[in-house]
Amino acid sequence: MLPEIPYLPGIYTVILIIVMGIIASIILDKRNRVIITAISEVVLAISIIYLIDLPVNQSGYTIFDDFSRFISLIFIFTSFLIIISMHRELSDITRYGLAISLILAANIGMIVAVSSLNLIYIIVGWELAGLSSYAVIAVRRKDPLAIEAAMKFFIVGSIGFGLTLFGISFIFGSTGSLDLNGIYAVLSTGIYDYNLLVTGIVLLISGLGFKMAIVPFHVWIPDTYEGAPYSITTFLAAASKTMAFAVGLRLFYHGLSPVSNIWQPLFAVLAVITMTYGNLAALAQTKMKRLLAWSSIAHAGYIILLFGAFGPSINLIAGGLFHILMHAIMKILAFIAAAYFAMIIGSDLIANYAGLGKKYKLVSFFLTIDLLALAGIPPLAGFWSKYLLFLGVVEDGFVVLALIAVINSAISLYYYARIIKYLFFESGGKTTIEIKTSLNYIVPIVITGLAIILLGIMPDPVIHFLKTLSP
Amino acid sequence: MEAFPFELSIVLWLPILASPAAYFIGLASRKASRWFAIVVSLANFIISLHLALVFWVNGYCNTTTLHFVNLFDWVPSVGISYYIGVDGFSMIMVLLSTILSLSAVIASNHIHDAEHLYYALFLLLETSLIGVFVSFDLFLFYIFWELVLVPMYFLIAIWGGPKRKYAAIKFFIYTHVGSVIMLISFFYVYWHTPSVIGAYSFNLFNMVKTGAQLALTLQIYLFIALFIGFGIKVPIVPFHTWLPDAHVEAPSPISVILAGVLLKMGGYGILRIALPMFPEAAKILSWYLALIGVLNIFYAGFVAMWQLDIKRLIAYSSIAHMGIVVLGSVTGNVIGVSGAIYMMFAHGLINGLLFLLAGVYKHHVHSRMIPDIAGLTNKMPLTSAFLVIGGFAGLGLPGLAAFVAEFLAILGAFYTWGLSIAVVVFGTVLNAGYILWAVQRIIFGPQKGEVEVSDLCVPEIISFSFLTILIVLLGIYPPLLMTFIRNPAMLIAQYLSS
Repeated sequence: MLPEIPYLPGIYTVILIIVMGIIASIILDKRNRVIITAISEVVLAISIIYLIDLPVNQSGYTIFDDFSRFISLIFIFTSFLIIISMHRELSDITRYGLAISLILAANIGMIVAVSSLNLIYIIVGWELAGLSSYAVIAVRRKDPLAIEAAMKFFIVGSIGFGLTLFGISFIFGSTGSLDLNGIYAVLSTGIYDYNLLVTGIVLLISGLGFKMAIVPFHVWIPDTYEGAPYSITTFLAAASKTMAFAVGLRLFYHGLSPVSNIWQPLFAVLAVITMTYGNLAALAQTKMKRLLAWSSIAHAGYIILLFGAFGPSINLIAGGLFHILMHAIMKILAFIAAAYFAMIIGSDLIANYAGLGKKYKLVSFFLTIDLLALAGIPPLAGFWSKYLLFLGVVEDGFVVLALIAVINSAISLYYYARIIKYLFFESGGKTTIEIKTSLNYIVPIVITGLAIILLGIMPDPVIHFLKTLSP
Repeated sequence: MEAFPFELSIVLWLPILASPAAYFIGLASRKASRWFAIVVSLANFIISLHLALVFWVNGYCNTTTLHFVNLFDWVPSVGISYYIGVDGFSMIMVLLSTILSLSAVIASNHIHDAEHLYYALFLLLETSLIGVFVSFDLFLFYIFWELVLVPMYFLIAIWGGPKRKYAAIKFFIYTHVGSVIMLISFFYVYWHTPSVIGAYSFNLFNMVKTGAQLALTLQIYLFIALFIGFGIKVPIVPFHTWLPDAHVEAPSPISVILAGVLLKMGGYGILRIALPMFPEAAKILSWYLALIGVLNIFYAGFVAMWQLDIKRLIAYSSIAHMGIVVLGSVTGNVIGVSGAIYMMFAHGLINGLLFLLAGVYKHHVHSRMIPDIAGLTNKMPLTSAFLVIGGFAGLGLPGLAAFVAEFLAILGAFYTWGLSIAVVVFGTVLNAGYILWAVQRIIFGPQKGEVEVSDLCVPEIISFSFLTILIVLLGIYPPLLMTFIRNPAMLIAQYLSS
C-alpha cells in the first residue's frame, strides 16, 4: 500500500508524526485558524494511513498489535471528526492552535497507553491524555461553566490517577512485576501476596472507574460534559472513555486474568448498578448534553459486562469491542448533532427541539437513526454490538446479567424516543434563528451516520475482524 | 413458465424502495404521489400474481417445500441469514397483502393531509407485511414483524380519528409487549440450537428441530409465550382491547390493512411457528386453545350486537372470525387447518370491503353511527348493494368465501372433539344475527333527516368490485385457494396429530 517506510520501532512513527502536528499548531497559534485545522487534519490522516499499514511489532516496552491498531484508530478517527466541528464551534477563542495541540497531545497519550504491556508506560500515557483533556476543556477561559467543568474533571481525574497509581504499586508489591506478561506468569504460579493483590485490584478498579464513568465514580461526568464545549465533550465521551476500556481490557484480560475470581464479581455488581442508575437518571433529564452524559454512563455499564461476565466466550470480547467502537461512533454523532442544534436554537433544552425535524431534515434524520441505534433497534449497528455482547454474557453463563441488561436497554428506548418525539411530533419550539447550514457539523454527522447504517447492514466483516483480536 | 430470479425479493423490496420516491414526488405534486403509490402497488400485485401463477402452473402446490427461495448469509457469525421463500400458505398470504394494499391505496382518495408522507409510510407498511409472510429466518421475521408497527403507528396517529393518539399508542404498546414475549421464546430456542444443529441458527427449520428436542414442561412455557405474542395480534380475548380502538380511529384504508393483513400475522405465526416448534405442548394445550377460539366467537359476537358505530361492529366481527381461525388451527386435522387458512384469506377480503364501506359512510354522511346512516338506500344504492354483499359474506352465506372457511373449520373441530364443539354453531348463528340486524337497520331503517349525499365515486367502485368479485369467486370455486392450502395444511396438521 505504501512504499517501504523505514519504520521506527513500535508506535514511535505515529507519535513522531503527531508531535510534528503539535509543534506546527503551537507555532501557528493565534494566527491562521484554517491552516491550523488543515495541518492537524493532514497529520491525523497520515497517522491513520500509518496505523493501518504499520506491521505488528514489539520494541522495548511498547507493543503494537491488532488490538492497539483497532483502538488507536478509534482515537484518531474521533479526533479527525471532532476537529472538523471544533473549527466552527471554537471560532470565538483566540488560542485555537493551543486547543488543537492539546487534542493531538491527548492522542499521543492514549496511543501510548494502549500500546504497552508495561504498567508504567500505561500510566504515563494515561496521564498525558488526562492532563491534555483537563486543559482543553477550559479553553474558553471566560466561561465559568467550562472552568467548573475543567476543575471538576481535574480534581476527580487526579484522584483517579492517584488511585490507579496506588493500585499498581500494590500489584507490584504483590507480584514483583510491572510487566503484564510478568504479572500473568506470577499469578499463574499462584505464589503471590493475596491481600496486597486484592487491595491493588480494588484501587485499580476505582481509578479506572473514574475514566470509564462507572457508578459510583461518575459524579463528574454530567457536569463536565455539560460545561465543556461540544467538540471537547465528544472527544471525552468517544476517545477518552475508549482508552479507559482498552486499558482495562489489557489489564484484566491480559495480566490479571488468572485471578478473574477476584475482579469478575466486582465488575458484575458495578455493571448492574451503572447501567440501571445511568438509565434511570437519564429518564429525568431535560437537557440534551446531560441526557447524553447519563446515556454514556449507562453504556459504560453495558461495556463493563466485558469484565463482569468474564469467561471463555469469544462473542463476549468481540461484542464488547464492537460496542466500544459503536459507542464512540454513536456518541460522536449525538454530541455533534446536539452542537448543531444548540447553534441554531441557542439552547440545550430538549423541549426546544420541537419542530426542528421539519426544518433541518438531514441532521434530524441522522440523529434519529443514531438515537435508535443507541437504544439498540435492529438492524442498526448499535443493535449488533449489543446483541453480540449480551450473547457472550449468556454464553458465559450469566443469564441474569444479560436479562438485566436487556431490560435496561428497553428502558433506554423511552428517553431516546422522547427526543425523536420532540424533533418530529411537537411544534411551537423557540423561534429559530435562520443560520446557514454549517458543513463543519454536517460532515461528521453524515460520516458517522452512514457508518451506523452500513455497519448495521453488513456487520459480519467487523465481527470477524474483532474475533481475531486479543487484548 | 418460470419465475425470474429474485422475483420474490422484488415483491418484497419494491414498495420500500419506492417509499422515499413517493415522499419526494409528493413534495412536488400531491396527486403524483398518489398515482405513484397506486402504480407501485399495482406492479407489486401483478408480480405477486405472476408468482402465484407460476406456483400453480408448475405444480408447486403439490409439494410442501419452499419455492422461489433466496438464501444468503447475512451475519453468519451469529447464524442469521437472508432466507425468503414461499410455500402455498405464504404464497396466498403474499397475494392477500398485495391485493389489499392495492385496494386500500386506491381507496385512499379521501386522504388530503400530507399525502407524500402517507403514501411513503403506506409503501413501507406493504414491504414489512410481505416480509413477515416470506421470511424463513426468524430474525428477519422479527425485524419485519416489528417494522410493521412503525408505519402503522404513524398512519393511525397522524391520519386517524379524534382519539387517534390514544389508539395508536395503545396499539403500539400492546403489540410491542406481545412481540417481546414472543422474542424471549425465540431466543431461548436459539440458544439451544448449537446443541442440536451444531451452530447458532435463526433458520426456522433448525429452530423447529431444536424446539422439539426441549423438555416438555419447558416447551409448554415457551409455547404459551409464543401464543401470547401471536395471540395479541390475532387478537384473542382478553388481549383484544387494542383492536376496536385502533380500527375505529384509523383511517378506513388503514383499517383495511389492519383487519385484512395485520391480524393474519398472528394466525400465520401460530400456524407457521408456534405449532411446528412445540407440537407436544400444542397437543396438550389444544383443548384450551380451542376454548379460547370459542370464547372469541361468543364474546365478540355479544359485544358486536349492541355496537352502534358500524366500524366498531365490524371490528368485533373480526375478533369473532379470528376465533374461528384459532379454533381451526388447533384441530390437528387437515380440514380444520385448511378452514383456518381459508378464513384468513376470506376474512381479509370481506372485512376489507366492509371497512372501506364504513369509510364511505364516514366521508359521505359524516357519521358512522347506525341511526345516522340508516335509510339512505335510495340515495346511495351502490353503497347499500356492496354493504349487503359484504354483510352476507361476513355472516357466512353459502356461495360466498367465508362460508367455505367456517364450514371447514367447524367440520375439522367436529372430527377432533366430537359433539362437544357443537356449541360453535350457535356462535355462527350469533354472528349471522348481529350482522343481519345491522344491515337491516341500515338499509331499511328510518331516515334521520334530510342530508345531501352522493354515491360511490369511480376509484371506490373499482376497488370494491375487485374485492367483491374475489369474494364470490372464492365462494363458488374453493379449489382456487384450496390447491395452495392443501399441502401446507397437511404438514401443519401432522405436527399436531402424530
